[in-house]
Amino acid sequence: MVEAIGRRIRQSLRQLSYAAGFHFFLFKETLNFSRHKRIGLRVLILQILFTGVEALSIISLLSLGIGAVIIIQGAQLPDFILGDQLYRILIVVITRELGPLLTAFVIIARSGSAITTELGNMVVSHEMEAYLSVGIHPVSQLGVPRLIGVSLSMVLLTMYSNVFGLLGSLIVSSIITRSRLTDLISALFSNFYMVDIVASVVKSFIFGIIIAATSVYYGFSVGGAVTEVPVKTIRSIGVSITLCILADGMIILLTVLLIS
Amino acid sequence: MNNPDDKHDKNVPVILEDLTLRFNGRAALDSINLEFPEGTCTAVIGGSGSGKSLILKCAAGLKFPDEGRVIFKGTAISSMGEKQYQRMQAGTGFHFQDAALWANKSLAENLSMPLLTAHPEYTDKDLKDRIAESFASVGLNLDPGLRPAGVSMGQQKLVSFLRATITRPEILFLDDPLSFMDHAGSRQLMAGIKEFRDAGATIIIATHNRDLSEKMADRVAVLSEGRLAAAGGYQEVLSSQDPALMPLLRELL
Repeated sequence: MVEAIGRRIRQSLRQLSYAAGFHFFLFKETLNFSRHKRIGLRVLILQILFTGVEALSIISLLSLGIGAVIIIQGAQLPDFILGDQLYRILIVVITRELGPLLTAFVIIARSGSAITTELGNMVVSHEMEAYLSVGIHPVSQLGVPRLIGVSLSMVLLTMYSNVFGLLGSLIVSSIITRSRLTDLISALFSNFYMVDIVASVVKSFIFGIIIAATSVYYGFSVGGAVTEVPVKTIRSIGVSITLCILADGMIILLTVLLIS
Repeated sequence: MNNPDDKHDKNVPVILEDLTLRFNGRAALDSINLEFPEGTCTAVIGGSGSGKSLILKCAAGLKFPDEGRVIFKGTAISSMGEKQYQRMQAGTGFHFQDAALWANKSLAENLSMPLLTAHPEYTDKDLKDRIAESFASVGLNLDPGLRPAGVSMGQQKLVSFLRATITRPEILFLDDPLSFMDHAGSRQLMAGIKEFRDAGATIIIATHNRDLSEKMADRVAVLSEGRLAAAGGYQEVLSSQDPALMPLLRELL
């Protein structure tokens, strides 16, 4: 019994130390990306295309819908008034919370799972060993462009999601209150502050790093059996969601502490 | 202070010392001690699951043993820094049993990766010329823009051989090179291996193909269930009258 506990603790510590070493190497190599630019640039462009461009339609639909639903639900409240207070709530909720989180969930489901599956399959088919055999570290070649690509795409997609989320709210508001959309847009802009954009960018960038690093890590941790690939993919999705929510909570806490 | 590895003979570029590799507690390689002298061609033979591929991967630094070490040109691979490890890999070639071409890259890109690592100064034209030249060297008449999935396994194996050899490495690891190959492909590959052997490269081949080992190898290592049953000169080991070894050799060759 004691021996089994000891073995499990030793195994956990080994895994933790491996994960720490892996992430340290991944971030170190990311800072050195310019060294591998000629080889890794194509992977980076493909990653931005897949994560960023191809996800535009689903992000716009989702954000437009969520933005619209906020106003539809809000309009059911007895003292619903379209004023500065509501604009501030809309901006804060959409740009600082819903935009980054919704985008993160879409990226986790779409790109995070795809990255873990692809890398895991490459481990199984010995393609990672093939990189090592020609003097290229697979983490530098495959992990780094994905980390950069997903992080950049997360920021851009979040901005896109914010625009569509707010637009969805304003379209519904203009229908409910019979106001001109252009008037609502200019009223919304007058309640917009730089801090909202900065908060959205910082949060989405951190989420992007979390999603990419987690997906890459689980992809590389596939041992060699093809049956491990779906197991690691599911784990990667769960861990990414948990870490993004935890990071979100910590950022909110830090912000509140800094403001007060 | 002297490097503890200095005692190792630089004329033996790859030395395996007490190499043990376990999977789920079971020793897939058990206390292997083996040397691969410079300019020799060693056939590593053994039945399925005897550890031939694992020995090659450990010797090439693609897998790390649980115990023991691999000395590469006087330095333990496990103690190498990142740069030294990459230099070591750039000076060796590894031909995988299942080709292991990068599926999302074209055949040309599969060959340009090692070329760019060894020669970052190469222009796109240099790469194109070298790739065309290497395709011709093994009689491959394929569109280099094709993906590996678009060609046969035999052709993938030939491209994998080219990927391992396109930078003219001094040490070549070949993992079951003739599997999945037709007669013509085998002949081309044998000719390619012979060219390297005649040029003085150190070659280590994991195989159970008697024709290949007889024609190429001057040394042999016999594996049985992860243990080294015998090692030495090819003829010397194969003509051994050791009663423990004879049934195993009869079974293998």
